[in-house]
Amino acid sequence: MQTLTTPYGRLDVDTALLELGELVVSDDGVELEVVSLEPLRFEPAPEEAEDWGE
Amino acid sequence: MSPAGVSAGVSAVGGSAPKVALVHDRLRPEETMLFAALERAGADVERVYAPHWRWEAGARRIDGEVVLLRTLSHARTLAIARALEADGADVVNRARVIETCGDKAATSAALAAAGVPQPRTFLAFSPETVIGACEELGWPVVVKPVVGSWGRMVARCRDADAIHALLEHKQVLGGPSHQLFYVQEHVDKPGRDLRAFVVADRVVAAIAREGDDWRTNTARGAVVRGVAVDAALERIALAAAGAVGGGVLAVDLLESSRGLLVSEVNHGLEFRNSVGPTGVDIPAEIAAYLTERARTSGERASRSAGASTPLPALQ
Repeated sequence: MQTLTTPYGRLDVDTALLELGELVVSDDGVELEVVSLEPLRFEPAPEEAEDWGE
Repeated sequence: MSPAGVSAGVSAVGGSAPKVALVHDRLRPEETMLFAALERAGADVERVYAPHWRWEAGARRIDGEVVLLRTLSHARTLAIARALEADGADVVNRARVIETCGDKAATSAALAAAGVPQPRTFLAFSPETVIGACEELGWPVVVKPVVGSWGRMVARCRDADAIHALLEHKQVLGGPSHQLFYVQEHVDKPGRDLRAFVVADRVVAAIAREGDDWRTNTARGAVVRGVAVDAALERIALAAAGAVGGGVLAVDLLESSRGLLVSEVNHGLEFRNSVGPTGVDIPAEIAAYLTERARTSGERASRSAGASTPLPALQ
């Protein structure tokens, strides 16, 4: 496990196991989506849109 | 994975593992389960993260490559399906299926054309005709957005005052889809609805969703129980799946005094809460189907020595 500092709070993650599209939650309670693995990058997860889902 | 995503060329030639691409954006438990199931099924799985993918019109052919679409947005999924089909990919589900399932009015039209029982349904285009439809159906009625899921913005209106308020809201919301008024009879279901999981020509599992909310979506906290797939359930579920073009689908059904009625057909099915109660490994069923499909595709490509040989439609 590593502790990463992001503009949205800190994350405790195993960077080797992260996958694109995975959601993680920072200690500030912000949902972040893994949008790049190399370099590792997170962005706030998009809000649920009207046409999402089944 | 290349930045362009789904790779060129047909796999499974000469005994190599059949290749299946899975296009996703946000990883839900379903996608994680599907990746694992595909690998267990012996597929060579290509993961395609949609935000990194791009498509250039007419730039390449990927004839017969099997691609499962698992993106969250209906609009995004449909666009990707159309693009990959143009390249010759064997997309599950196909664009016309996504188009039909993603629009409740289109689903109702397809079910009606195929003679599949559904709740009595009206499509209207003005508040006046909506009121007329409601009075003909009898109160309460159910008003649904033509595009939407997880039970969002589905309303049960008990009288004319309620429907007037709802129509005002829809007019203020704007957007062309909110000006299509999709109104259904309220089916007095026995506290639950049914869902059948269809993989090609088989109903692999079925569940009942029970809840206090009249919208018995699992996204709204409904409790899931496995139910037996009897002949009546199987017949109507397969008929509904066929009506929209077939593929990997979830058919939602209501039990009524007139028998089973199809309320929805879902192209981007969620099954995380259904594997346990049914005892059926739904992702494994999907993976087995895709892997076999990819194997067949590879054999065809091998026989035709690289010639363009798109697969026939699912149904």
